[in-house]
Formats: sequence, structure tokens, C-alpha cells
Amino acid sequence: MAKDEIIDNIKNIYKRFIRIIFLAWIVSFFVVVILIRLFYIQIIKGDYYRKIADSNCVNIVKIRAPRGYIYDKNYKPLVINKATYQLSIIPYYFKKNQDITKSMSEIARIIKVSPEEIMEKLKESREYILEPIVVKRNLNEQEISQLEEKAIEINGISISQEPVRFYNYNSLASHIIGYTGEISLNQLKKDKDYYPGDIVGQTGVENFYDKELRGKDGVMYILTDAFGRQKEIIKTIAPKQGNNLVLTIDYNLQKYAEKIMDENNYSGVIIASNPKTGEILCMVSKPDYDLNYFSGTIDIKEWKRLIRDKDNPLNNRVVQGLYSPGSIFKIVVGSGGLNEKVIDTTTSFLCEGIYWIKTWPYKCWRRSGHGYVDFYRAIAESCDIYFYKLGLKMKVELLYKYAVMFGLGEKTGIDLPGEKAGLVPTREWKRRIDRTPWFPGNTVMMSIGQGYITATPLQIMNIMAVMANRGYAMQPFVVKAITSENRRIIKLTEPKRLFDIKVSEEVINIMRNALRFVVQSNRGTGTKARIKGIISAGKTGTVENPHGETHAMFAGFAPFDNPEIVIFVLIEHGGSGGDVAAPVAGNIIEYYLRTKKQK
Amino acid sequence: MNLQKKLIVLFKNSFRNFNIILLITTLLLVFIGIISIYSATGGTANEIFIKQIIWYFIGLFVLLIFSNINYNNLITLANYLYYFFLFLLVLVLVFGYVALGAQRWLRFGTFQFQPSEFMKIIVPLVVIRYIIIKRDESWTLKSLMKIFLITLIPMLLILKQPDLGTAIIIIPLVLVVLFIGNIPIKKFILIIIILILIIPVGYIGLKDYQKQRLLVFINPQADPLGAGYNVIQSKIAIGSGKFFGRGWLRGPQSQLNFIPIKYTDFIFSVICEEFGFIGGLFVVLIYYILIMEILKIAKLCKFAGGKMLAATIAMIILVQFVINIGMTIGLLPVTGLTLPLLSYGGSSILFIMIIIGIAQNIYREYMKGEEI
Repeated sequence: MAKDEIIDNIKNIYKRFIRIIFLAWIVSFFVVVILIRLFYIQIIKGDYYRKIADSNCVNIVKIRAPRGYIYDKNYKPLVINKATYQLSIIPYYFKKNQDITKSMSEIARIIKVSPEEIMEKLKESREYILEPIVVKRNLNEQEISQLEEKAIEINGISISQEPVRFYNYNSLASHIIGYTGEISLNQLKKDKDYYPGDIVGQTGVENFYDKELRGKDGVMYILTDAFGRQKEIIKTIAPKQGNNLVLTIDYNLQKYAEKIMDENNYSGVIIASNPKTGEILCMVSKPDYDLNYFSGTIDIKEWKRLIRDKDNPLNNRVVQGLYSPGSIFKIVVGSGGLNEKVIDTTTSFLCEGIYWIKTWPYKCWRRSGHGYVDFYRAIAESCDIYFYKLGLKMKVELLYKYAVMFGLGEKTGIDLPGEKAGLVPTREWKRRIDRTPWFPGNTVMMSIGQGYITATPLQIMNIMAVMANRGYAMQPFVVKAITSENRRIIKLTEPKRLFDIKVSEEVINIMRNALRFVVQSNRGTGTKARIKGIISAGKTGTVENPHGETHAMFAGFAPFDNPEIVIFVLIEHGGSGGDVAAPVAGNIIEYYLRTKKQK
Repeated sequence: MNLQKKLIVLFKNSFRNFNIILLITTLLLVFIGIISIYSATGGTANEIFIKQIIWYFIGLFVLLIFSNINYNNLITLANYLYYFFLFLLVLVLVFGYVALGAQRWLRFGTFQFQPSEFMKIIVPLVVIRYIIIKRDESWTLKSLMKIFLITLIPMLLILKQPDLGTAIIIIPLVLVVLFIGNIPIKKFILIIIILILIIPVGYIGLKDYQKQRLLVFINPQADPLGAGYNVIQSKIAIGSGKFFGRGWLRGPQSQLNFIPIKYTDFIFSVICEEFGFIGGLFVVLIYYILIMEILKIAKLCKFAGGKMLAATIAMIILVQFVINIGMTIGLLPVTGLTLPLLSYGGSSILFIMIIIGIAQNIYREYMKGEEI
């Protein structure tokens, strides 16, 4: 027994000995591999790497990828690129100049900026002293020729080509397209895919689809001599242009809509969409701005003017503007009242032009009053007092239920950045924010879409879209497809149902007929939206606001039986909805249906 | 004997029987570390350089202490150390200090401490203890599953930080313990095959930046300004050193900041640029001698525990050395593992000094046995 154990023990010791020797061989193997590799890099390829390092070295220069183009729905190019020249300085070589202040002021004189500004930019480079810093974009021909002369005597400056955005139609659809600009520090922190100096979309689809549009930057390895002059390009990895966007926008319709706004000097919103798919056909937000200001370097003065303008030309009112929905909200209240059987079509209320709650007067827009009005007349003639009384019967809870059902207070999820959700107030909300209870007066205001309730134009249009579709709304979108070169489609946007309303079909039919009367009956408020030969429907709105004249609104759809277009027009401080907004809407619907038939 | 004499004897005893080769290679690496960090931080007596020197002194002192602690005590205490450091790892995840996108450090005042570093020796210690207790029963399926669990728990905690490099190298270390613990060779090969089969599953669990690093390793040109930049610049630096190098403080690639994080992960590139193939060869050979000497200690030691422990220590140094240098010369992906004793960093220096101290102690215990 003991003998076996000893033999076992010896076997074990021997086994362990062999295994340690084996480990030693593994160590030796790795050391040999490393030494061979070192020998290969340092001795065999040594000259090659020395050359790269010496000529110091390889400058790695980024070649900016051209952004993708943006087309309208018929492939009419709205945004393309054009080449511009830019001046950059490589700090490491630039500091080798004998007289830096002199060369600095010479450059500054040519490109017409202050030498301090250049100094600032040089300081920003910190330890990346071999990376070129862009001092001025968008050089003109005179500047280029003068700078090229100087480049011979001044070290470390270079002129390179770069694609910048060019907008064929200046301000057309500027809010949908959006402007581009150098990436901000905040954006850099949020997304690791970007580098300092990258040009990114700041608003509109340029921003929303930036990852698609930006493409893939190329790289150039340039041998430079000890003075920073470029000698030889060792290797180029070509940039890849970004993908293109095809918008749902119809160029002609957009132009027509913008022309109407411009001719009358209106500020406000026009949106039209195809109710069945959610495609936005045109989207106008006035005032707007010329996109070409932003390509290359924007003039500081121009930028400040845009930022400070009280009319907020940079704001896309369609998704960022919050308005009281006004009388258009009566569609929601009316549907709710009918659906909850608070009223039926024969219910009548007396309108005397003024309605008193205790000592507070609430007026109807028609001061003389409508007399006894039934449901159809209340919608067609937009009687306020009818809805005050209906709203008080429904109470704020039911108003809230139906407002939310019609998509208010919730973002539509359109493919544009910065969309707002709007507000649908409740008792709890008011107690929390205002620290006061909900008064009947609040209900009265809310039942005609005024007071606390706010919505974006897009949401207001969706109320009409629900009516057009007999009970549901599609999610609005502005990009129809993402394509690469040769119109090869990469991704097609699938229309998506946004919400359904839980209102009986009968109620929807009643409401649709009432909306038809608004336009078609002679006593309706929207008669000026009538179009020859086509039956359309809609609802006017005239919204009181603290800043002055009322906002004029009109939302509508056509043709009545099989709607192809739903439209919302808002003219800020325009006056009455029926007089100002309705004719604009009528014109656009007519233009759209007529041009569509021609194709 | 009076107190003074007693102290002198104690002091002398604490230096007796040092393994000279181990000591010289350690000191040489410290010396190379000092001059290359000096160069890599711009050639001035800056904060990083001074801190590193302080760490070297603390490290050498710690080495002395550990060379006087019988390694058997460490094996005996392994379980307690294991639980304590698991606790610290959990603390890191809860309170840890975040740097470079990972949560690896515990902070006490200005002092930062990276517990995951020490798990590299504690996990093998626990496994060694387990094998010593279980002897031949260590190779049943149940025991192997236990060893697997002992390894997996700290690995998952480290992966969560996330520190892929440190988590992954625990695997070869445990494998070496099993190997020197005389696991039957068939079972050993089976374990390795299973590990290889797990790799694709692991890839799916990687973070995006880790996947990117692997992809960039396969094709550095895919992202020449981002993740691939480091490796390209490192290769240019090393290659341009040619045979004799550019001379100390004269490497343009290093001095002009082409090589990023050059005083931690890419310190070897600085050495190779400034001292050429000669310098690189010298450093590699020092590591080779150091590792072989530790393996020799493993061979000499009479006890299974000491053998396994010494072999593990040799393997820790080998793995970090190979992975770090492999990365700078473009043979392996970028992982962020440090080069033992040369890279900047307190926890890393302290850890390597401790394990070299343990190796010294294994040698000294052996010599003590020989003397009797």
C-alpha cells in the first residue's frame, strides 16, 4: 500500500514537472512571436514607417462627406450641395513662423476677420496641434487667389475644398428642411458618433434624419514636410455621400401655399395632408427664413436678427406653435356630447348673445344672438352659447376624455424635431399648477376651445382628419422614402394609424354632415371655402388672444364622400376665420384637386 | 541580546535568501518605467511622473512585506479575501468613481483603488485552496462546477463595470491552476473546447464600443480617426524607431501626442520609438527572464500549493505582457490592460509588486527548507 502511494506521489511530481516545462514553452512561443513582429515592424518595414513619421508626419485629414440630397415627392431637388473653399491653419507649423503676429494680421486682413478671432480658434486646438483648424469657410475667388500667394511665405495654412448645402428655392419649405450648422458641444457629449467640427442638421428633417443624410467621411493621409506644406497624398479613403430623402411635400402645392401667405403678408400656418396615409402635402409656417443664409458661414448679424425677431421665424409653428384650438374644438365637444347622449340632434338651446354665470358675462361671437339653435345650426353657425351650455352639462372630465381621444395633449410623433404636446387641462392640473379650484367659467372657455387648452396646428388638423376618415387619424410624416443613388429605395415609410376614436358611426356621420353645412349651407360660417363642383366640409375658428387681433382658422377636407385632402389654415391676427382663413383653404384645396386631375 | 540587536537581526532576516534574478529584473523594469514615463509625459518633472515614482517606492516596500508573509497563510486565508473583495466589487458598482466610461475605482480622499485588479490573484488562490483540500476529488463534475462558480461570480461583477480585459484574463489564470494542479489532461482539453464554444455567445453580450474595438482590430482602416487611430499611430511610432531608436525624449510620435494615452496603455510604443528594436528587445527579454525565473521557482517548490501559485503569478505577468504589447504592435485588439510595472497607475503597480513579492516568498520558503 505504502509503496503504491509513493509511486503515485512520484508520478504526480513528475507530471507537474512536465507541465511546468510545457508552460515555459508557451512563454517562449509568445516571446518569439512578439520579437518576430517587432523585427518585422522596426527592421523590415522600419524605413516605411520612418518615412511616414518623419515627413511629419502623416497628416490625417478628414474629407467631409457630402450630405444626401432632399427631393420633393416628384423627385424635384430641393436641397443639393455645391463646392466651396475654406481656409484652415495647422497650429504646429503655423507657430514655426518667425513673426506670428505679422502673418496673423495679414491673413486676418485678407479674410476680413479680427486677428483675435483667429487667435481664439488656435487656442481651442489644445494638444491636437497637427489637426487643421478651419478659420474661414466659403472663401470667395479674390480671397482664394490672395491666400494662395501668401501660402508660399506663411507656414501652416492651407486651402481646401468642401461641399456645402445649396437650397434651390431659398426659403421654400425651410421649416421642413431645416438648417445645418457646426455641431455644438452639447450635441457632441450626447452622441459619440460625431467629431468636433462636424456639420450636422440642427432643425427639420436635416436634424431628424441626420444619421441618414450625413454619409461617411473620408480620410486622406497626406505627407507634409517639416513646414507643414503638403507634399504627397499617400492614401485616400473616399467619402461616401449620405442617403437622399424624398419628402411627401408637393413642390407646386407648397409654392402655391407659400405664395398666398407672402402676397397677403400673412404670418401663420398652412398644412395639408392626405388623410388616408398621413402624408403631409404641404407645410407652411410663416414668417420663415432663407436657408441659404445658413450654408457655409452664417453672417453673425443675420443670425442675431433671426434669433431676436419677435415673430420667431426659426420656429416651425406647425409642430412647435401652441394655439387655442378655438371653435374647431367644438367638433370634439359636439362628438362627445352626442356620443355620451348628453344631447341629440334635436336638442335646442337659447342663444341671447350673452350668457351669465353669476355676475360673469360670456358672449357669443354674434352679439345679437342666434335665438333657439339645434345641433346642426350650432356647428354650422358656430354658436358659442350652445357649446357653453353643452360643456357645462358634460363637465370638464368628459371634455378631457374626448380631447385626449382626439389626440390632443399628445405628440403625433411626426418625423420632425422639437414637436410639442400641447395641453389638455383637468381639475387636478389646475389645482397643482394654479393652486385654485376649477370654476364653471373654465369649463365654459374650454368648451369653445379657449382658455387653458392648447394644441399644435398639426393636432388641430388631425381633429379634421378623424372626421375625414370617419373615425381614425394616421400618423403624419414628411419623409416618404430614403434612397441612395439612382433612386434605389432603402427605406419606405409605412403609413401608421395614430389613434382611433371610440365614437359611434352614427355620431360621426351627424358630425360630418354638420361640418358640410358649415361650408355648403348659406348660413354657415365657412361659405367662403366653397369650391365649384366639389362638396367640401370644414370648420372655422376665430381665436381670441391677448396679443391683439383674433387668429383666423379654418380646418377642412374634400371631397366630402371620399376625402383626398385635409387642410388646416391659421392666419395669426388675421381676423375672422370665415372671412380670412376659409378662402385660403378653399383656394388650396381647389388647386390641389385640379392639378391632381391634370396628372 | 538587547532590542537594537534584535531589530538588526530581524531586518537582516527579512532580506535573506532573496532571489537575485527576480530582484534585478524587477528593479530594471522600475528603472525603465521611470525613464519612459518621464519621456511620455513631456520630459518634465510633472505630477504624473512624480506620482509614479512614489508608487514605485510604495510598491517595492509592499514587495518586501509580501516576501516575508508565508504564502501558505495567503492560501489559508483565501476564502476571506475572496468574500472581502467581492464585497468591494459590489461597492464599486454602487458607489464607484466613474472614469473613461467605466466604473472601476473606489475613492478614499484622493486615493483611488481598483479592486478588480486584485481579483486576478484572489480567484486563483481560492481555487488552489479548494484543490489542496479536495485533492483527487477536485476533478469530479461537481467540484469543477464549484470552481466554475468561484470564477464566474467575480467575473460577472467585473464585466458589469465594464472591464472586459480584466474579466477575461481570469479564465487563463484559473486554467493554469487546474493544469498545474494535475487535472487529467482529457478533462482539461474538454474544458478548453467548451470555452471556445462559448465565445460566440459572449460576443453578443459585449457593449457596442467593445464590439467596435474587435471590429477595428480585424480592420483598423475601418475607423482611422476613431478607434483605429491608436493602433495605426502606435505602429508608426514603433516602426519609425527602426534599429537604434530616435533617442530618449526625441520621438516625434510620442512627443507630439500622436500616440494617445501613451503613459498607460501605449507606453511600449514610446519605448520602441525612442530606443528602437534594441530597446524593445531588451524589455521583452527582461520580461522573459522574469517569467522564466518565476516558473523555475514553481519547479523548485516542493509543495503543490506553491507550484500552482508560482505558475499563476508567471501567467498573470505573461498574459498582461502579451496582451498589452500585442495590442501596441497590432497583433491583438485594444483592451486597456496595462503593461506590468511599466504602465502608469497605482493599483496596477501595487498588484504586480505584490505578486512578485509572493513569488519571492515561495522561493525563500524553499531555500529555508534546503538550509535545514
